[in-house]
Amino acid sequence: MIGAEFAKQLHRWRTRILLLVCVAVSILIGVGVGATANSTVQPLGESGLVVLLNRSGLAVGIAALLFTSGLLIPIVFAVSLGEPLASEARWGSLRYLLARPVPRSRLLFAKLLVGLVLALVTVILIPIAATLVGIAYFGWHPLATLSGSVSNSTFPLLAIKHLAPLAVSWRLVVATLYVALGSGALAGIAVLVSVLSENVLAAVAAGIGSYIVSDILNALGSLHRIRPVLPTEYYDQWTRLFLPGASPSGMEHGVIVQVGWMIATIVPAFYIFSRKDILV
Amino acid sequence: MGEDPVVEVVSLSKRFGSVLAVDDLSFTVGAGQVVGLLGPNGAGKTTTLRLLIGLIQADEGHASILGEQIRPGAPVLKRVGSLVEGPGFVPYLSGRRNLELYWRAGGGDLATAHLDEALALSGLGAAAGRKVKTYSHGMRQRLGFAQATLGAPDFLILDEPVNGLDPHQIVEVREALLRLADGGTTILLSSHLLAEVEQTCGFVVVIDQGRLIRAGTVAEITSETDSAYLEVDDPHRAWEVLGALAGIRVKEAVPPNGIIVHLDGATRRELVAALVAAGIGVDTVMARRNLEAAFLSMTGGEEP
Repeated sequence: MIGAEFAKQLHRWRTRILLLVCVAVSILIGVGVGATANSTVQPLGESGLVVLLNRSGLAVGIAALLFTSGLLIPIVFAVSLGEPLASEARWGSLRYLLARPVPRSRLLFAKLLVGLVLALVTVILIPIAATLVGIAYFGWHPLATLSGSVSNSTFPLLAIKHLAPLAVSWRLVVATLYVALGSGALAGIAVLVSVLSENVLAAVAAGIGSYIVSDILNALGSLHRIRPVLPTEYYDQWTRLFLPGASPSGMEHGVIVQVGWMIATIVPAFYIFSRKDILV
Repeated sequence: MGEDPVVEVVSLSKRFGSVLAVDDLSFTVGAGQVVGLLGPNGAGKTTTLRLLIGLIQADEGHASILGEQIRPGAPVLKRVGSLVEGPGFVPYLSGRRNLELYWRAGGGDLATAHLDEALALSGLGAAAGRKVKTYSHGMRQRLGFAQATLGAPDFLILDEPVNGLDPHQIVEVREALLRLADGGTTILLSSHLLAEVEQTCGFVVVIDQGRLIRAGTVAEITSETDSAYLEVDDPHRAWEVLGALAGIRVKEAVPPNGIIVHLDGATRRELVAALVAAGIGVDTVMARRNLEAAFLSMTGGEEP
């Protein structure tokens, strides 16, 4: 069943276009940075860290991850996981798959697994493509970061620090996986809505919409008590991975929140799908 | 028959909100039978078929196929082929590829799918290699029929299998169904083409508002003697004469010259005598109705 699902998804233009768009955007980011960066610096989220882009090709990969994590990567996960089941319902082929001697949970598992693998491959290609372009421009050098404090001094106390290329590479891998996991809640919501509504647009919109709502709620100071469980609260914590000597403690919270959301959405999705009447 | 039924539906009920779609429905389908499931629109035919392949679950009662109770993903579904509420395919894949992936998704080995035989049955020829999104409605329907016959199932469930087909294709599907039935496949089909059902099915199950109205052989249902079919040379005057006659109820005019009469004490001989006495020429008197007339009298005149 998993093989059949892979065959279906790999033949889709949607799958190929998502992949191509992500790679193309990464290359464009790389070319854009490479063509203009004499002394370009890029702040990394709210970590207080600034990356000197023109010192290392790896910095371009980090920048690409930063630029695409806000919208493109969530879209990849919402579409890859929220769309396959709803599309089968729309084509009328779902009822025939479910009239086969296979537990419904296995069908849903196959769809989620294949969607997850394809989304992960697509997302992993983003920093890889951008890093390769970056290396072509700036070479394989230590990552140069700028950090420090300006709070109690007339003169800012900033320092340039360097991270070895191999260490940066590993951190970039971890960061990419963390960003992917950061779309877990969104993907879970998309899957749940897909099972409930059997509607592609509703599933994808619910996934993306959940992050927009989370961002809005995050911005409201009066709702600070619910922030720890919002899916986007710890989303940018991966940027701290590149802060020399910093402990990425926020990432642990981020993992717990995302796993919690996935359990809270995927488990009901399986339960509902196993029992629901298929009327499409 | 002495054999266990292939399909056994026992006191099946299914409600959607306030609508009772299937209401305490019971019937059986014997091995090797070709059974027509008839009923007006909204009678519960498709709901019944969906219940039989585990797409929806009954509120009460149960259905079993080949002795195994039906539930979603039941192992016995391996022996069941279905075409319910129209075909459904992945549009960007070819017809052949759709059938391959459908079979593999069900855990089947392609070697057991009898893919070429099924495609031959569809008559799609080289078009089986084209993407389904380029197919006409009739081609999709034929591919759906081929999909239902993959793996040479013991039991076929077909919902309007000739929908959208031209007369030649209808004949081909009918012949294919009869060949499958000759080979021992049990078939339950719903169709609103009653002439088609009459030519294909040996048995019919008539339902209305989710309830069983009548089940039996086509011969039994069309031979019931409480009705008569007359063809006369002046139907308008015959209608008046018969309307005044005691012991009958004039049911329906069948253009151009036919009248269906429900006998309620009177005999066919008395009908003919009264018409002849009134100077009306009687060309045909039949105890046997066609299935359409029988269906209409059972369901109060609603089309299937």
